[in-house]
Amino acid sequence: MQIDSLLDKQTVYVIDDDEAVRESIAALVDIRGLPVETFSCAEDFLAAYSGVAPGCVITDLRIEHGMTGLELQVALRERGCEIPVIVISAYANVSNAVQAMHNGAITLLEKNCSSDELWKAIVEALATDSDRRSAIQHNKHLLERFQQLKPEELAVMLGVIDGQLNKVIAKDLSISLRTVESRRHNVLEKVGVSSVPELVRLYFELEQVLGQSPYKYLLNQAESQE
Amino acid sequence: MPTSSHLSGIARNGLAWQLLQAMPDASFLVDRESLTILATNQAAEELIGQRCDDLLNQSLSEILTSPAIGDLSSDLLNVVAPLGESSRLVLCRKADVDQLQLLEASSRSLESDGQPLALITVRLPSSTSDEELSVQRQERELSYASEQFRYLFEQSPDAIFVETPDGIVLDANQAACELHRISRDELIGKNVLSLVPPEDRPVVSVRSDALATGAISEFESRSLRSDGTAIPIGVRISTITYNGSPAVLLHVRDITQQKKDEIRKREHDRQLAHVSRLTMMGQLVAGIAHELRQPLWSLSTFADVCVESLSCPDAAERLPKIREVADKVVSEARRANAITTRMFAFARNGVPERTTCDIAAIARDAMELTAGRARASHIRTILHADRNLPLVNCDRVLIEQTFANILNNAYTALAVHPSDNREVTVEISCDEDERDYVTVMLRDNGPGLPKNVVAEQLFEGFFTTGQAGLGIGLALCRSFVEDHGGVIWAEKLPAGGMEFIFTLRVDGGRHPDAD
Repeated sequence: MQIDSLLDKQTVYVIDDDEAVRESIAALVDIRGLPVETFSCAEDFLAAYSGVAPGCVITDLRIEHGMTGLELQVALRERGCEIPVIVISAYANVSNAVQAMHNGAITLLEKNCSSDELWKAIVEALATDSDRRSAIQHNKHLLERFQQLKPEELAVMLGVIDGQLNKVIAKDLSISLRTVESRRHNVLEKVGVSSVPELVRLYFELEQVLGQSPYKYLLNQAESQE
Repeated sequence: MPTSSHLSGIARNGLAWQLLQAMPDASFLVDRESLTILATNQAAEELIGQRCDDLLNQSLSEILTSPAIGDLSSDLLNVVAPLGESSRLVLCRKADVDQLQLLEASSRSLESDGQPLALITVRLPSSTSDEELSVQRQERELSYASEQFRYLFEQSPDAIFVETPDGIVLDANQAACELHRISRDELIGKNVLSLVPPEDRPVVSVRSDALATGAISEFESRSLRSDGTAIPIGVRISTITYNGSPAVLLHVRDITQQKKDEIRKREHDRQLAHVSRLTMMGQLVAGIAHELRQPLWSLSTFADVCVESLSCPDAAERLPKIREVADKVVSEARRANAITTRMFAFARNGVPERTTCDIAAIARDAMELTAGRARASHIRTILHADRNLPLVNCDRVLIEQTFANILNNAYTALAVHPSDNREVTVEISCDEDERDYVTVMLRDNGPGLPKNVVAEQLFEGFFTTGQAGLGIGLALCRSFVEDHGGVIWAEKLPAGGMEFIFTLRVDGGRHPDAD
């Protein structure tokens, strides 16, 4: 369970105390070509799971011994695991269902659903998982591009994004116009864009991801590195 | 004698008068309505101690009293009222000493010129010697005792028979005749066995022997009526002397009503049990739906996988795997079926199907049923069954379920118990001296019960130490075992682990009359 890469295939983790139930889900997932692992209790799963491996969890609501499906959801959240969880139950009441959804279950299925319904839920959960993962990857990549900028380049970038002319930037920073032009070129190249509007779009996207001003964030990082 | 002068028949020195005087006993000629003494004689004078003339015109009721009735005159009227003769004991007040004396009085009604008269003759009781009196008294007491006996005998609401020790009826009362609906004449001389339904005769003769030795004094049986019907009876017995010979006194009571009451009570108990079962059923539905859904759902999922695998282009290569999945379809179908069978057995109002079963085979089946769980948790299950175990009349499904429930509990406890020697032992035995019961013991070496839990609590419905499960498994076990005339209990073992013991009656614990 050392998987920590987007390249790894998504795995379906099945947790149910009923052997036949978990084996039948495993057989279904297997025949449709996905890796699957089964556990008879939540504790076994938590012990085996890295916390970041891609995939989804299918857990029974009631498990004969150890934690219940609801408790597993809480435990995963406390660990910061965002793996999508499908809760299945032979006999779910409203309060269980509400609690499961409140805990962030992607869906709750009763054990009378068809194989296709179950499969649809699995596919959705995996899509959610991969969307989430690709978004994280994208953000990570975005940040990495900006992180290559040196503090003096960041200063020029801020002026460019503000829409200032090169000579204004040169005057403000007390540097030559040539230096401004050179640094501006470097910024576009390092961030990997060919135009200023594109740079502006990525900058504000990063601001959303970081939840703060990218300039200050990047400047702090760059200065602490030096 | 002015008052009597008009009575020519009894005029002084008349024929009647002389006749009266000649009578050896004290005699009074009285008016039958007023009891006024019209004439009397010398003997009366001597007996009463009053002069003849003084007695005339007195009322006889002032002289004679009856010991039985306070109202003397009316009693005397009764004495004299009937035409013809009658006699009884009366008391006579002796005037001179004012003391009472026991006399025998007889009366005879007469008519004279249309006037109703009575001749009352009074004498000392016929035998007067002390010896004679005591014999008389004894005889009276005897006859009184036998009268009392007769009275009780006849009036008893219970049928009473007097029999010879070999069972020949010597006498029987009215109730006995009514019980058997035959006449006393028919009853007397019969062998008591002929009054019992043929199928009960061996039992009754055995019991009669037991009576003879004094081993028992009462038992229940049935009586045969002349119309061939049999009624339940309770018999109490004592030995008596009858006409100088040893005899048996049988008190027989019709206990039809008592039996009916018993049956009604039993029926009531059954209904009560049924209601409590129904209540439990309601609670059970959730559990059963849960239990049934699991195998049905995994069955359909396995089946889908099977179909899908067969449609794959490489189906031929997948055949071993497909077979494996198909096997699981079958086993899950069986599991679901077993659950419904169990439900039916339970819903059949507790009249489970009884067959003669090998209890060790049932245990093995239950172990097989739960083997998956045991394997998953690396638990060894060992069965020791006595040789020569008797076959047990039981409901196979219920008893297998009892084994499975206890085994499952043990496996659950052991699964979370840190040990590399997890073991469950099943022992089935039958005491040589107590062949009516088999005893089953299931022992695990798991963690046992939490300290705050008492073993008895386990058998209460909806009690559970686990977070899952409804906590009815052992409550059901108890109801199953008790239904088989057995008991179930649990013990915490000192070394940790639990021991569950239950007994089953070999005959299934059902009274043959119960159904």
